[in-house]
Amino acid sequence: MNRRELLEWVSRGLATAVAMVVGLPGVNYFLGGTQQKRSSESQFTRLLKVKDLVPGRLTMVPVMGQKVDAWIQSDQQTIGRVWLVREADSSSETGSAKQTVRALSSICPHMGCQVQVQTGGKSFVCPCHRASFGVAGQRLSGPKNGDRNIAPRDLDELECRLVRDDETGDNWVEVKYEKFKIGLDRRVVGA
Amino acid sequence: MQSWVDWLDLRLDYRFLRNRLSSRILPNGPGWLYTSASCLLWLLVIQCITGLLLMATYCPSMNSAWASVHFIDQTSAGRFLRGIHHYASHAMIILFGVHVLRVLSTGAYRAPRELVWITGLLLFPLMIVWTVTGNPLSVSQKGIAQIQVEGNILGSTPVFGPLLRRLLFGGEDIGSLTLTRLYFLHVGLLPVLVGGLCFIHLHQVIKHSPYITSDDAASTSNPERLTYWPYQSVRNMITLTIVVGFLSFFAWKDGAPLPAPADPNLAFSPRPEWYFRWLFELRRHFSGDTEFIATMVIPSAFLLGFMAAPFVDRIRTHWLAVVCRLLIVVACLGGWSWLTMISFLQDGRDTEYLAETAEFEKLSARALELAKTEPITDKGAIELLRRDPQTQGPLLFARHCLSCHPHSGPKTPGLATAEPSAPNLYGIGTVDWITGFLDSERIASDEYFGRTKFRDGDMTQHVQGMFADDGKEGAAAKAQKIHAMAVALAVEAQIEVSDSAEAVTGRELIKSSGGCTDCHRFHDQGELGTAPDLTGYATASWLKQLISRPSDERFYGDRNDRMPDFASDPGHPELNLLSSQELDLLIQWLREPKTVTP
Repeated sequence: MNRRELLEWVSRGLATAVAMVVGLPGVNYFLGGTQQKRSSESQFTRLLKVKDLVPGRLTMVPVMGQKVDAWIQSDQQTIGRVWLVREADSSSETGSAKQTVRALSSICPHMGCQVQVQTGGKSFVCPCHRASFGVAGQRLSGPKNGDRNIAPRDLDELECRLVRDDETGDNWVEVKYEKFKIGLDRRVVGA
Repeated sequence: MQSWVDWLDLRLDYRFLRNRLSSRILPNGPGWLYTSASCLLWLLVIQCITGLLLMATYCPSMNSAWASVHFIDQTSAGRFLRGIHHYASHAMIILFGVHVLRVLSTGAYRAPRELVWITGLLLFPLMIVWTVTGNPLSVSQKGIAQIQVEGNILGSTPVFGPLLRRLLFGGEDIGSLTLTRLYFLHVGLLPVLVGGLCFIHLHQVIKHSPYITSDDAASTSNPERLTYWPYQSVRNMITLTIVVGFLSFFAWKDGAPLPAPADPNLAFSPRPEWYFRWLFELRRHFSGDTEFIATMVIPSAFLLGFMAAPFVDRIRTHWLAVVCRLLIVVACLGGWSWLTMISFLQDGRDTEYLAETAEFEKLSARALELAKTEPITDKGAIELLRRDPQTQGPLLFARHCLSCHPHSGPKTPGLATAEPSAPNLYGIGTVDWITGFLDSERIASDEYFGRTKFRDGDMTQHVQGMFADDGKEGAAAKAQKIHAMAVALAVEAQIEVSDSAEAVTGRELIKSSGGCTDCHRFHDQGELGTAPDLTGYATASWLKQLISRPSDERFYGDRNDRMPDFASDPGHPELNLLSSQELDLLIQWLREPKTVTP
């Protein structure tokens, strides 16, 4: 290596080093800001009393919680919504712990729109691409003849339990709210 | 003066560029078909200028964006500038299509102009991204719903998708960072990229254009060759004037649209802008893991295929080449129009979608109407509709009450329910509603107690016994008494505002021969525990207590039928079905004068 070549390489090297001074933090800045602090484990959230659920009726309930949006933290925000279905055959109005309540995420697994109750109240439909689901979250064939169901999987069922409050004697519906990745044919936790 | 200009030219050499432009010629002479290019360039300049001006007011924050855009619209100049910025973005996409098809059909991409063609094609996706990042900046429900889907489409790309989506959203979900990222792309990165590509594009155009040489000018045998300036330029300017004229017309007449502020509590079915409709339609034919074929692979294949044109098409003048090019143009245009048309027709037949769209239009109009009178607070424009009983009332009613109670008036369909099992609450507390309730025929009908356990209860029997026409008393006199009591209760409800002599009579009747206070409490007479309190009947606070806890002693006690407690626990508002604010909105809407259709 002669003197000229050496100087060429030194120049190139220094230019790269200077570019790195801005470039590397630049990349890190873009990626780093997106790493949201995950709120530890998702926990069960108390939603409502069992007796407030009309059997057989599809009820949408917002799940409230703390929401961190970049530099703003707000409490008591809607972090998601669930559809609750109380089995129609449960007879007692008082809401004994035996009665079954099913919780479904309101997020359509196709593109992430909010599924709605179809006219008639016996099934769900996503307003975006008309994917329809039964009360158990299972995919149904399209509303019109020949329509395919575009959803890659059934509606996501969430862990749901009934808890008796010994003080008041009320039975509460509690749901572990989680988000699952959309567009996949299997469930993967994560937005 | 002259010396000054000379001084400048010695340093900048600007006359060279000017001379070059004024000696440029087009191979087939000037023509109207060539005006699309210049029109695009000047629209780009207009976009940059109007965009810069809008930046002086716009605030990229989730709370303030909508309000700041609305603020811009408050002055006629701001409204006009934003209108131009909006409509010009659509015009540019149309002109871009025209321009590409023109170049394709004339084969103007061939050597040595490959780079003109390729940089031009690369500008197209950039411009699309430019508009896509601009639409959500107002943080309207429509814009946010669109970018949500667009981000998800990006995210469904294999391998890099999730990373790109996270980069765009600034996290897993749409939030404050999404907006600043979009803003950064829209006013920072994309202008730089588009500017750079435009520079190469124009440099290549100028470099590879034919020019009049001094030989041409000297020779007298050739007919005069028309130079770009001014023969093509005048055509360019006429086209530009017409286009800008149209844009100004729309901008002046309608301004740019500003849909309702984004609210995650509102459901909305986003549809892409018209230029994406073909992809939207195409996407319906793929699902799940193969969707990226429609959204990424097919558009990229088109782009790459077009880019390869200069290297594939090497036949200069053969008629076959001309036919091929024209066929491609027709196929592209036809395919695009066909898919776009199918998509729009499909929506046109979808009654649920149409109803939802109409509903959203109403919501947007309402938001603008409210913004005229209501202040936008530090909580943002989202509160405009959230604080509005007229908007929230029907939504809350549909969510919480409609499964049992209908809400439909005689002239309006209102909110009907498939299986009503409780009284119709349309006009509750009004003279008409109470008169109907005290009607011996109607009390046991589906309109009131027909489907409740009070169907055969004391109240029904009382009304049927006392107020039915038994022949002893004239029907007219009885009707008069019922009306007086109804007026008295409507006054009690503060719905009937003027306290008339009839109301005084009515109050007396309630306490005496009406027999109401045998079961109901009414001010100083009667007791609680047997029937709902008539003191303050149907006032806002009475209704609020009733809905909060119908099984309270003041109302139905243990006789309560199926009505749930909507806010039984004041200590834990988060566990109640309805918050205090929601109750207020619902009740305010229920008590609204019912002359207008709900």
